[in-house]
Amino acid sequence: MSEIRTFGPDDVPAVAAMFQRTFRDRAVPAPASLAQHIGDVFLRHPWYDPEVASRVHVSDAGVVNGFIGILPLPLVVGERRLRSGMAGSLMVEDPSKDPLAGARLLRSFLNGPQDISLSETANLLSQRMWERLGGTTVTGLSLDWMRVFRPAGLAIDVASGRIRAARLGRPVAAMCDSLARRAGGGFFRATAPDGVEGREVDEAGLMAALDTIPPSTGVRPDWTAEVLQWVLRTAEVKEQRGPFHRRVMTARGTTIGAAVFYGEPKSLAWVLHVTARPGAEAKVMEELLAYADVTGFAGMRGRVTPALHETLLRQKAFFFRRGAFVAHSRDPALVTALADPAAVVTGLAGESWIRLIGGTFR
Amino acid sequence: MTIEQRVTGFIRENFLFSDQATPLSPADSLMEAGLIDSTGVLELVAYLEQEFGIAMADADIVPANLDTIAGISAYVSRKQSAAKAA
Repeated sequence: MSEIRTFGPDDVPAVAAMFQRTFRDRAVPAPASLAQHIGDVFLRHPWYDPEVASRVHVSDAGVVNGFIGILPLPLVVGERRLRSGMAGSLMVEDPSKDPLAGARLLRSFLNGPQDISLSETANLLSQRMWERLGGTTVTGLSLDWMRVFRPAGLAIDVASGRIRAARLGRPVAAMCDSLARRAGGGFFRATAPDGVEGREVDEAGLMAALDTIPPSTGVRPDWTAEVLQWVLRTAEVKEQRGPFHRRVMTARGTTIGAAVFYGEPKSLAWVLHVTARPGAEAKVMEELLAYADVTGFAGMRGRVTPALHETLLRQKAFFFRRGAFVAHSRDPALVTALADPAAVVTGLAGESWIRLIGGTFR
Repeated sequence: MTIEQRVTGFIRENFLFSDQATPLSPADSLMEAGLIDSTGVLELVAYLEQEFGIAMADADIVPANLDTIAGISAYVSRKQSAAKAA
């Protein structure tokens, strides 16, 4: 009889192999580094909660053929502490053979003891499953933004992700962009805000800066310095995204915000997380975009959060749908609280920091 | 109405869009016919729990219980009998 059970250390090789076959190259065995990372984030996470943990589906033959990855995420809202889990990496080996496995995995997770269940990367199928189980799509958190500085360079960068030879077009793209930026009347340029200074910092500098920014009043992770540092270190290397940047913004000597992002000049920068003092969101975002423009990035993208929505529109970013942010709770007020502009449940709080997204395992 | 008739009505209404012409016998595989997939099964489970007042354990969500109207009816009958006996 098939069953759902908690993911354990002995399942890591099977899950890594299934991840390799499902999302990566079927012809190549799962690298040891992939198995290591899966074990790190789903079993050795400092917040690991055995009751809000990843699950595997085991077939009638006793073979692991399904997985749902759960990242533990203790949250705080007001004075209330919440147990929560962020789901992702839902996969079933050959779903035609076991069409109910995915549904069982998700249902098993949602029936767990946590106060609220979340996912920020639900595809259309997963989104429908969440909704059938009483979950809600949080539209305000289900969008990505992109700001284009060098359109031709961005096109080359996107194309070179599929065809490496496309990089040969960079010199021509640079000329096109130079013309476009001159003729565009400033449309592609991002302007730095007055009175704000930004600088790239090391890990200690980022941690010190984050420590001075007051926590949001909305739903937010119950961070400790140790856990935040562990998450940041785990997120540092994403080969497909480029080098990791930590940037801190100050105004009149006071830290007003910080951001972490990936990328190298001439390519697209991927923003993982932006945080700002209340009221400083616009200045922080403007500084980040201006820095990316001056440094020569082709564009910048990230996850839309309600707090940055208006600022991003004013900064000529466009929005598009990637994965849906879905939430499920027996307390509807908790789901409603996620749409509050003060809520902080994406980026470092979400799933996007793990290396299964944007990492290259060799 | 029998359990079988009520389940058949639900499947026709929700997965066949009230099409009465398509043959649907109690022994037909709903999955092989493409009527129920991983999202559809969750809709079906929610219906069975609400309509018949039963609670389905994750372990019960298997083709043996949910792939045919006959299987679904037998499962619901067993759950109701067990609840009465308890």
